[in-house]
Amino acid sequence: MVRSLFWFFVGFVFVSFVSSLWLLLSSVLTVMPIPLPYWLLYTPGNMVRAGVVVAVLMLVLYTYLGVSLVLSKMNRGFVPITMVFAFVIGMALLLVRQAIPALIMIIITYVMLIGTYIVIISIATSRASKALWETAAMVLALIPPMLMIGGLIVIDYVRYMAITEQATTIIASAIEAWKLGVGQ
Amino acid sequence: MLSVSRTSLAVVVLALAVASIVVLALVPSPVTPKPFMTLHGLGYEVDYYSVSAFNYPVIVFRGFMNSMPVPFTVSLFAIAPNHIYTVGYYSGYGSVVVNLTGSLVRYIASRWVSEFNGALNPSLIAFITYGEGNKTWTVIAAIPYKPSWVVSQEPIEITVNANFTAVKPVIVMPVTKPTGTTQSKPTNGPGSDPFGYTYVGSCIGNPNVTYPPPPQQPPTCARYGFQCYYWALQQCSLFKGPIPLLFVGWSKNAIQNGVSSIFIDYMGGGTAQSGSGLFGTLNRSGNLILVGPTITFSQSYTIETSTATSQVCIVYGPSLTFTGGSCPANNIPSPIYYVPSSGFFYIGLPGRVAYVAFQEYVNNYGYSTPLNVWANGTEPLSLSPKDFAGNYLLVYPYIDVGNGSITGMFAEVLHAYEMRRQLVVSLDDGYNSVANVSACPSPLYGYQELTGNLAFVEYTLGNAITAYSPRPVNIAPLLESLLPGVYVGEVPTIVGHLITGAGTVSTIAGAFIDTNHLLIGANVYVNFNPSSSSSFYITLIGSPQATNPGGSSSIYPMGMIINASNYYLGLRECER
Repeated sequence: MVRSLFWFFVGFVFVSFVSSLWLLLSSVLTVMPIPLPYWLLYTPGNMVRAGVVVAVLMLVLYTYLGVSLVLSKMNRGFVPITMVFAFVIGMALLLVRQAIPALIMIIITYVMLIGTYIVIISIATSRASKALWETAAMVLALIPPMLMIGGLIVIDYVRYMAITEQATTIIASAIEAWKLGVGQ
Repeated sequence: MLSVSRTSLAVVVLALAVASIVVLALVPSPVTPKPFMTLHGLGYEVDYYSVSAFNYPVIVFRGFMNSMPVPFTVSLFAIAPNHIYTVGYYSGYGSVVVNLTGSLVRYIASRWVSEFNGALNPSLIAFITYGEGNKTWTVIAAIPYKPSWVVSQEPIEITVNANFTAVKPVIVMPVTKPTGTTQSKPTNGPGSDPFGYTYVGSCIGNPNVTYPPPPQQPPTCARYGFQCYYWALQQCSLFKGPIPLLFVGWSKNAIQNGVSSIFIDYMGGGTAQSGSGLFGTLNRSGNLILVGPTITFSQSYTIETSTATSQVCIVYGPSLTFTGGSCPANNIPSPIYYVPSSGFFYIGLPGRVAYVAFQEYVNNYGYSTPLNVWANGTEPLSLSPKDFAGNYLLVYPYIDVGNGSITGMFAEVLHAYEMRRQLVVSLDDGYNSVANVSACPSPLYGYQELTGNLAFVEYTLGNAITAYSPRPVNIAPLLESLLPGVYVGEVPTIVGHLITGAGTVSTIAGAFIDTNHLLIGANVYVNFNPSSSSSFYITLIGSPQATNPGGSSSIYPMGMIINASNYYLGLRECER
């Protein structure tokens, strides 16, 4: 058991909560006739900006996870670190308009994300959170084949699946934070 | 201690997790508003929601400076099939709600539905303005809407987010430098201030400012009466810069591959007769009014060039360079502009142009109340002393590669064309190098093939354009085109022609010139290689005719555009 992972799970829940709250609040407030700072508006530009912020925070969290594991002599910590690297390289390639290599890096990132979930499953301290992370990993693995077969027609289902996946990981993280924080 | 704080943190995390699940469950539900359409323009974004805080159609305007809400005003206009109406003027802090429930808006919407059966989506035009000190920022937003939303009062919410940070201030601090910027110099070559105009100061109280004709409603204020209407000058901002007269424009492909060089001899030899002059243009509730002449020539002048040479040669080059030498293709010694992209060469009169805004007032027994009726526009107020030399009126050459007043004029012309499918300039198809003919029967031109694979098409600009008579204006040419300093910036690329990516444009000087009494000539030679040049098309451009108080026809900047792919705007017109 790696005690320092407590902070990873706490961070995971915090970031997820703040981003989903922003999503809800901004969309409701936007149609209200009240003065608002620009960052609270539900506009495509702000969505992209919020997405970037969330992605950066998540990358920091996954890096923390990987480094903590490696420091505890668990080599599987290299999986999340690889994912972060693949993502950063993929984005850099996208910025220099190298679409195909970028796509390859993004696919690696995605596979490594599932791998990261498996790593988390392997170190999870409770059965409940193990089961929830397993569900999330399965949903994550199912999304690409569904999109490939169904195309844009299934986009709504994919959206629901993504939300389910997010919800399971949040609950799983909360359970794990509870276990690591309150005691065994 | 650590374990206590960890325990409490774990409790918080559990609570947050539960809250996140609730929020996540709400996000995809229809309770959460999401825009079903989003549009962008310079400095603004329009989002359309079908979930609304109201049960009727509304527009919620939001104004931001550096992302924070600020106080602002909205001047809202609605375009009817052939009129522009003022919907109203609104102000608020951070947000302004305009209900689309009024009888005027509903009437306009019903006109669109009845005339076009809902096939067209008209726009509302909003001037959203924020002021601080003596600077104002204006975002001009076009807000397309379905007339049926207004007619059947559907609960559609349109939000318009105006970002004032993205636009340039209309009125800037007076220039403190004692020496003016280079636009008033004879040739604004490379390295000069790219902006067409410099703010000089307020011109309230300037005796040359001409008021529009008295408001229509009788009685006027001629006698001491119980009720009368009059105009009050609310804003007068003076700008220094050229008043353009003739221009030659080119697209990047045309200058790079189509033609070898454009050789312009603007010797002119025209005259400005005694008593003729320049007019101001005002837009009063959608109607164009000419005022003036605000500048009248007290004697007859022969129009002459200011510089030693009256010729200029435009050639494609990797960067904007101004040099002397021999014009490629015809080997005539002349100043040469190497231009890397699309642009305009124009000749104009350095002078001072005012942006004026008049507001109508009603006076009841000595109490004056302002009305929501405005007349805005531009008036040339004075010419620079350097325009005169004895009996000569001197014209000056200018180059505009996407940041000067002619670009500004076209930006606004194209903006209006995109908004309303109405051209405020008249086009006449000129020469077409593919068929080696003119598409229209008689724009006057000369074609000559010389030895050494050199050919040229020649136009005498003033004559070619006055040979056809541009159609009269009976509705507003545009609100936008008459507002100097208004920053349109984003130039719509309608058929992929002339101006693309003009980052900064300023404005037009709405100087109408009485063509019956003032004529300038310029011979334009478009040199090309008949065997190797790729295609090009010449379009002649004049502005619509307008009637001035003296009754004669008038015209303002006229010129031609050389385009590579098709006639400018791809419209085939033969105005006569």
